[in-house]
Amino acid sequence: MRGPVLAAAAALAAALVASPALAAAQTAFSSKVQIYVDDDHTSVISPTVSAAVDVDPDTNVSAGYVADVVTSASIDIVTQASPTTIHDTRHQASLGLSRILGDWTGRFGYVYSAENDYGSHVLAGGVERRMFDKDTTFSLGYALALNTVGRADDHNFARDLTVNDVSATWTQIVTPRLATQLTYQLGIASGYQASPYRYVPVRLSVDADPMYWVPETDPDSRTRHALVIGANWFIPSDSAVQADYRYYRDTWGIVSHTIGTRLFINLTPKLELRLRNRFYTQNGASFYQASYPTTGLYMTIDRELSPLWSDTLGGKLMIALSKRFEGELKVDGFYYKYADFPSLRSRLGANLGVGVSMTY
Amino acid sequence: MNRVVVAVATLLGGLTLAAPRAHAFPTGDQFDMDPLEEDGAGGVAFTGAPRWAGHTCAVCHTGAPGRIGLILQADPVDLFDGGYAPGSVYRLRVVLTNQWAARSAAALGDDCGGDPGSYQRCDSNGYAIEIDDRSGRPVGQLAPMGNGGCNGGAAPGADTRVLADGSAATHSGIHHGQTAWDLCWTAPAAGTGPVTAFLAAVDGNGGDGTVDNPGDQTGDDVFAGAVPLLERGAPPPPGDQGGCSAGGSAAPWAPLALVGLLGLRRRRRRAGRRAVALAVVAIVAASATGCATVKPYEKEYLSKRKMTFAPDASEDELDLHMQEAREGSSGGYGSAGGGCGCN
Repeated sequence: MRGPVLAAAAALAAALVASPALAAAQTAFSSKVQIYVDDDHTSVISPTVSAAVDVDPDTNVSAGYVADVVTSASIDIVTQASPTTIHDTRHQASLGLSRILGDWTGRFGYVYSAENDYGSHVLAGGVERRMFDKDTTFSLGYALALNTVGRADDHNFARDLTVNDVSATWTQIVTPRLATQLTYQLGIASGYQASPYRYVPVRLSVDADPMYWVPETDPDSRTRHALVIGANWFIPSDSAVQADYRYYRDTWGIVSHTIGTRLFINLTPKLELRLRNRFYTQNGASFYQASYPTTGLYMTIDRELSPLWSDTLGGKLMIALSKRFEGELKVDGFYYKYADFPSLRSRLGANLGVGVSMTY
Repeated sequence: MNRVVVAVATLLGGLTLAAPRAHAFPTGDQFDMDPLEEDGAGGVAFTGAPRWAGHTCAVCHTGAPGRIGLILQADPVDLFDGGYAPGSVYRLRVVLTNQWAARSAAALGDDCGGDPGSYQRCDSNGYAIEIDDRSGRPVGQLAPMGNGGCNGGAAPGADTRVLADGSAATHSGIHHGQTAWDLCWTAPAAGTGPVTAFLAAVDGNGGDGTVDNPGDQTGDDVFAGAVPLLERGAPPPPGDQGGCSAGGSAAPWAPLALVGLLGLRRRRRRAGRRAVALAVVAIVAASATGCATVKPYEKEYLSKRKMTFAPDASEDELDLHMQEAREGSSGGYGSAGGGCGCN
């Protein structure tokens, strides 16, 4: 049982265009496990496997599987009508195909995701054009996500959520050590975007007892704009710095800023360390209130729609075990601060990961 | 042989890659061998050509200080100033200059090595060359030198061999202390247009100087460069720089402009739109300097995984899935997969 906030709509289009390959596709296999834990009583174990094969020099096919094994008694759960600890598993399978035709590359992808109360199909396609000695790459992508929102133990509840994503990316090699990328993504979501589990208390103040509860209601449409600018800079000692900034706004009134930085340090020829930091901040949705003294058209107690900021700091070690095998070990710590969400003021947690990959 | 020095290499290697470990190729024959079963190169010679994404010998020979150079010589010499005559045969010589690694062993020639007790380090050098047209396709025909020069078949013991697919030439067998290699090139047919000779070489240090490790890739020096060759009598090629003026490097402030964006975050709300505007201006300004084309053989660093914009897509997907379920924003960074994941 999971609260279906909007987040589900996959933006596969951007994935298909956001990383114009400076290196050719290759045959590879990887397996990873990531463990998420936080002090809001939620843990998620996510095993993942993926494989990619060069069918011929110009064609690459890929497949992947991800599971999320969730155990949660978060504040989101205990404020529901029937507070309890939930256990749920999400399964996701994906297929991808890319083909190079001269200076063009075409990509196609499909993702299927299923869990107890949520189903999702994502179809995506994209094209990429390399120009000027491959110094410049333009990419366009489109993705359609068809989601079905259900409610556990209620077979009569089913709502649709459709998301269209369009993205455009410009990647530019500036110098032999510097590459930049500019991405714009437009997302249009229509359908049910609230949680079928969440009920909003109507009360005179945050501390007052609720007079009554009403189902959460969000607008049925939401248009998102995201603009990301990034730069990768190769620095001495075989190291690199990556930095990006995202400006985001949507028709629900949320404006956010994200700054990401990553530093790749070559410790030895077989050992590489990645350090990273991600800072994020947003204001609240226009209809979000910490408490509602009376009913309104749109009402939510979704903390993701409240004003918040977060910071993630982490490291990852990548070890070349042999010519073909690489191992990795990752530890990320994160902190979320909610400025106007009385039930939860902050969240502290970690993402731990371990994985191996094999490349031909 | 009328020789003219046309390409004194000045590009600096200085690469310290984190590429998977690989073994050196003391024998040119290894370039055609299976990478896994026979420790070969799978028919690939990294010459710095575009079809190898600019990769050179430096992919494996890491930490090269870049002190060596290369000279390409030709007979007839007018190959370089008048262009190649379609169908003509040219005798080429690739010369490794400023050799320093294992130089003390150079005089030993093939008399190096030996038993553990009397082992002597070998001076193992090698090279690779290919000549490509503007689309990156190898053109013309490379061949080892024969007894009669470039007429007839390869002479016994020729110091050059051509890969099985004919795309490139490398050193042949093991010839220690060698710093020059001869080969022949039959120019392509008329209408091919400008071509580029991509060269790469390794100044090997003979491993760690012991019989146990006579040829790893540590401590060697590397050089790579390219020599443009016009087609004789053909009209000048149209520019392919998309209206940019080629040559030169981007302005040094370009990266600074981008890094400077990191400071924009601290300006709240009202600065949001201004930040976006400045970001766009910065990337456009920085990218505009990219009109100074970065040549394929200059993309050694850019081809590394750490320089791609999604170096670990599967990890990114997991992270994005988590972030988008805990924040009000999404988009711009790639796929977060499907489903909800909202706890």
